[in-house]
Amino acid sequence: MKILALLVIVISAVTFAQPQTFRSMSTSGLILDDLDRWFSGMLFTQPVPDRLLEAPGIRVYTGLSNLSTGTDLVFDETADTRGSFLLGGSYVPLEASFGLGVLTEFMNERFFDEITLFGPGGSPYLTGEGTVEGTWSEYVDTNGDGTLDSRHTVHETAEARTDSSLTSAGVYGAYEVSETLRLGLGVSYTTNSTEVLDEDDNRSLSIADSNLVTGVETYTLDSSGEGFSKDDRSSIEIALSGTSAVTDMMDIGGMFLFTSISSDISYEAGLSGTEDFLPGEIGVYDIATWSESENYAVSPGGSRFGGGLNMDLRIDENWILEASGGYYTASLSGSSDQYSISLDSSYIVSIASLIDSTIFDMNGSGGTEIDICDDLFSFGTKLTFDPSEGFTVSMGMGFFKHDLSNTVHNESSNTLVETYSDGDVEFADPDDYVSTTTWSQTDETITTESITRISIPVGLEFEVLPKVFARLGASPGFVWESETETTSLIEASPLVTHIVYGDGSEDQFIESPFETIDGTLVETDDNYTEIPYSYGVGYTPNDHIQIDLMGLGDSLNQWRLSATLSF
Amino acid sequence: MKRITAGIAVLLLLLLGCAQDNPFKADTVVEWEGGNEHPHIEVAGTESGGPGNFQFSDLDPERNGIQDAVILTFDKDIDPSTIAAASFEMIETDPGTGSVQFESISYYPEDRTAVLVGTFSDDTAYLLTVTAGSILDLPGNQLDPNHNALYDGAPWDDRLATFFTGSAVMRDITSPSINSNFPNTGNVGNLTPQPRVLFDNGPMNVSQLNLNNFTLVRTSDSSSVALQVVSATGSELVTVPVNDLSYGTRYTVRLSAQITDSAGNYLDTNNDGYVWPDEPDLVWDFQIIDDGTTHSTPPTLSQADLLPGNTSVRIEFEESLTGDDVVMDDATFIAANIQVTDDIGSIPIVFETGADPGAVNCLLQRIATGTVTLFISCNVADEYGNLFDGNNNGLGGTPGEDDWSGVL
Repeated sequence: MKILALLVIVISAVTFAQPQTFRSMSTSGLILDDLDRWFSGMLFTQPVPDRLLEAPGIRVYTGLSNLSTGTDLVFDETADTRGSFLLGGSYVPLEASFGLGVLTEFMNERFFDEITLFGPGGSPYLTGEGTVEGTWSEYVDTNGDGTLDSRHTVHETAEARTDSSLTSAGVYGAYEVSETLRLGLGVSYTTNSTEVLDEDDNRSLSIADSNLVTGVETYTLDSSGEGFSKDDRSSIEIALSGTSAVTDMMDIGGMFLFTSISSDISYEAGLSGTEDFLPGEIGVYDIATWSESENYAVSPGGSRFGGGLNMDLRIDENWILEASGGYYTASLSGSSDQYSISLDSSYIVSIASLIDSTIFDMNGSGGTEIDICDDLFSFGTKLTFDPSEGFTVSMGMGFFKHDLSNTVHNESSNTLVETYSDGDVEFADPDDYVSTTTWSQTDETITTESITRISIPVGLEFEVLPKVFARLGASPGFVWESETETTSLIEASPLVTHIVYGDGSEDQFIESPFETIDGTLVETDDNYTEIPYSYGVGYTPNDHIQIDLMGLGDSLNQWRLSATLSF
Repeated sequence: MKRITAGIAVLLLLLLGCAQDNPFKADTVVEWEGGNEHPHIEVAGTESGGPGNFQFSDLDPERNGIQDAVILTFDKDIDPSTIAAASFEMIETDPGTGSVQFESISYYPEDRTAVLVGTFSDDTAYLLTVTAGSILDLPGNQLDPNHNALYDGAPWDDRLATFFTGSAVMRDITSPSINSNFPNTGNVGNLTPQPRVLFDNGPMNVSQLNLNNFTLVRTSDSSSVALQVVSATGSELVTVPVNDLSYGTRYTVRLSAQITDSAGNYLDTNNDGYVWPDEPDLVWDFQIIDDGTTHSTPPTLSQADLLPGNTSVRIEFEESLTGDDVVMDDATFIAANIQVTDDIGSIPIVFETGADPGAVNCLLQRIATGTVTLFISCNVADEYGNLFDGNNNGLGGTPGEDDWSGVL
């Protein structure tokens, strides 16, 4: 299941979010700010760098811009300040025929999971985050003579955390070839890394029992495990765009985007331990030891490409009709035969003068194949009425369809060898044996998600006070969502055990009944209507700063602010 | 009406065509793996006499000679391609030594049976050898006639069978085995005992029943003791020491496994019915009793009890065979020699000796629960170093054989 969880992260490499301005977010995406025009592009699917030329001057997006997620609560001093930050800007000299844009994003964070340690009687005695460690003891008066006779001491550690980092940088340029044609080019690079230490994998346990009267240790157990799952991915994206003024009233634009994606997914875990019923007795054994490891690695790679078309029609001085359509498809695939699991354990016990031993040696290997497909198609039109500088209203209709599927194909085969010896040197000893057990399985999990949305958004912006604009937006829509997860058992063999005894006799048996889960299907199919509302305020105190607010309410703590500098 | 009926039929077909397919992409194919157990010939016989019968009888009187067939039944499915002439060698052993060619060789997988048809001569004995490694089962495993779960090659994994017609005598293909061996206890009172072995399934090759293959040594230092052969026949070998043996001394007798019977079959020393390439020599000990000057009789267990409260086990020792009191060596009361287990596992012990030099108290370091079992190693010793005699036969110190265990 870990690999499925990691896949979700990989998929996000294909569909990482585009930053939106507060102006856009508070008008249901209909009234766009400068950044939305050239970076979020057509229907928020791809950057359109040639549109840089639509924003002459200098725009600076600092930490005040709140662009990374748009959810930072700057007035809430108790809010977590962690997260990514986005810096950038655009520069289009006045009267020049070129423009430049830069956008960078950085994130480095560590999250700790809450861990609980349980003490005597299974009661929790420690809850904490990160690395926790505790020791507890239980003393017992075993013979009821009023003094404590035995001690049971437990020392336990556990660790759980998630480290994430993101670095993204993009450079975009625009050039006005002629009065009727402009072209744009953008290149960006993103690298992202996540490492998860799970509590179940990173844990140690030590138990020591002793006789308090004589001081003799009566039992010890030491077990420790370490493990992590890691996902490293990177992508390089190239975007080309162009806009042509077909007539004085109409512009037609198009863009093409290509992204190369690579990733490395791996999981490693190891566990070892010793349990000793005769601690401290040299040469005498009642001791079990175990050591196991599991790891797999797969490196899916792929690409995303697509494009879009846009038309802007200025019907008259106050009316603009826009129509856009975009499509992209992404695929990732990878295979690995690096899956392996091994287990070595032994149980050795002294029986009079003999040493009885049972040794287990298990080895498993296999491979994993991953195939991910991601397709998106969107189309929308909007009609914008802009009768004056203080009032803008826009209405539109949008169609959005997103299909995502991933297939994980797993193969594994395992062999367990058990070797038993009663420790004597009897020739052809029927008590001794070597047992070999084999089994294998191939299965496949296919997950699909599909979202189709038809929306009829409306947004307006009007000046309520000098230099203060109120914004409203609503986007009623019909949504169809479906998800399926299908698991299929492709091939399986039962446990087959072949035993060779010391006297040469052989025995063989097969797992019976051999029960298999041949396939499962989980399916959800939902459709509903939605009417998300949004609102905000924009304030432009002077020509060099624009302040946008969202989340306005009774509590100032919940206000969200974005400030953009322009020169 | 016909149109309505046809319309309904078309509609039904369309509905059936639209029925949801099985959503699971792949079929489950169960593959039975393993199968690496070696095959064996369960039974051999003749077509005329059936399984276990080795006399050929004429099934076709109109033809010259005796027409019959060898029947071999396997315990696993055999690769039919390996049931071929090259896998079988049939020779006359009485009176001639020539080889015999089978007229046809067939395999019937439904019965796992091979049928080897031939024409045989009257008053003739035959030896069939199924050549080692020639016949394979379906997973590719060779026959394992000596049942050691290994392929040893020839001659160990040659499968032999004998047949005859008329009054011919079949070759002896049975390995000789051990009927008994003496003396084998610790209370031998005679200073000139006669170490001897009685054989079954002989007759033995008497020329090999000599003092190169039969030796006597003093156990403590492996020094050789001179013997002379009293009797060497097809069924026994009897020897006697040249000089008197010593009181209170343990001796080890060894008979080589490399001797054969008169037909050349190797000795089956452990009497399991099969001869392996590493068949061990027959080795045993005996001990001359003590006189007034020696102290070689080992200790044995007199009594062991779990005391009330389940916190202590008391063990008392006595002299083996006689039951006399003994003085134990306290230094051998260690965890490596005495263990106590319960339902949880081994229990650490602190040993306590008291006024009785032949006893020890085992103080359990945690309270025993459930079934309590005591183990006493053969390495526990008395004051003279005589090792524990767990089976009370007067001979102590043999790992496993002289360990003692019991539920308290």
